[in-house]
Amino acid sequence: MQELSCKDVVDRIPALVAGDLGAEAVAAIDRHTATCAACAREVAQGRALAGLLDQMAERSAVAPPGGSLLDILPIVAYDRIDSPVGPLLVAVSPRGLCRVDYGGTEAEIVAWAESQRLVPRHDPDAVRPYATQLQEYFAGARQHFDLQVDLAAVSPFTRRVLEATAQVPFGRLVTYRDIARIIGQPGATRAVGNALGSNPVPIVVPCHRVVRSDGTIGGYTGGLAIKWHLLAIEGVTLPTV
Amino acid sequence: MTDSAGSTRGTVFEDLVTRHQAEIYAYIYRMVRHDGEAQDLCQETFLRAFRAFSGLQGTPNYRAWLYRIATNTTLNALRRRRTGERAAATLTRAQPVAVDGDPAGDLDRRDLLDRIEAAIAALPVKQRLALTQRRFQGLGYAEIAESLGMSEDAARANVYQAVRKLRAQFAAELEEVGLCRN
Repeated sequence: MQELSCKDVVDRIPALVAGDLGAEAVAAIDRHTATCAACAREVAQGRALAGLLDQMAERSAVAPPGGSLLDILPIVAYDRIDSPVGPLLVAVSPRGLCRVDYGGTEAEIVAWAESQRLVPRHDPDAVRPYATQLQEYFAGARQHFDLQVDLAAVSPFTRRVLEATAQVPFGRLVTYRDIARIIGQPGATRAVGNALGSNPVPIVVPCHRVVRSDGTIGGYTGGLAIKWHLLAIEGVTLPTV
Repeated sequence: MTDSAGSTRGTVFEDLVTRHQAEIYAYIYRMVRHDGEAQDLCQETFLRAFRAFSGLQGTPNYRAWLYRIATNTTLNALRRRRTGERAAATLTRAQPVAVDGDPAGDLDRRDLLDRIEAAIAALPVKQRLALTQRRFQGLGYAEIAESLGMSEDAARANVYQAVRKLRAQFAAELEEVGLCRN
């Protein structure tokens, strides 16, 4: 058993205070201080400091704020659901539905969430109320969506276009020009088309109800076949193109 | 789900939040001494962590990595908010220690704790952070080294240097407390 010199003991005091020493090392210090008053005094000072630091840790131990940070972090819940027009990736932020992607992959939604500084979470339970309304729509059992939509990720212009489009009733058609007029920018027909092309929540914001002024169907993010399908669900027929 | 990479990553991050949010909050609180500010900075820490998360290579020591982000986030905030004034103003709001017995002795002890706390706040930043992480947060030297961007030896040296300074600064008081204990 190696005995410590006075210098060894004094050198070890910071480690003693830091809580770095094992039982054996502490016992060696105690053996030394049992017969060395000067070192005993030094070690007692160190232990007093250690005790005060313990008390300090205790008194500044604070309860973390109630709830989980997960409730504060901007989490976006997503799930992939089946539909008659193929799989849909549905994403929901704390503010509401924020994405409906035709054939979207999980990797795409994760990349999108990260680009928006959102935390993606695969959470079918959180998505289910939204998914249910979409499925009711496809089944012909719902004409109006009753859910919150989060358009925070779109530009102010696109938001105005989407908000105007959201007012178009089930089974009715309007033109790009109508929407441009409604938002007070009658010359912005093409910009309206572009804005609708970037609609993050198709079906719910019914951009499929917007067609060209000449009566032809116009374009659609998910492909024209899907636009036709949605219009058919709503009983809409267009003149032959 | 066929492509589970994103889901796994999201789950790992949420586990990190769940496991470490309380201690990261406590760590930040010890630096800023203000509940609302600590909450804001804790949230900012985890947001920054999330943004950096997808770019992480391999599986680092997540705890040390979070401490590094929390340290940088908080030090930046303290720099912005003029540390000295806030620390001085908030030190007086430290919670009282619940000690049974002698009320006069309690006051002395509380005063001593306040003064040591102020002395820790006045230490050079690396010593202060290393001591806080070691003594109050229970981090090992490898974690302290990683979170503060220094070697383990340097982390240990910073803690020991902080201890030596506090001992020197409060020698008389510690002697008295030591005598009371013996």
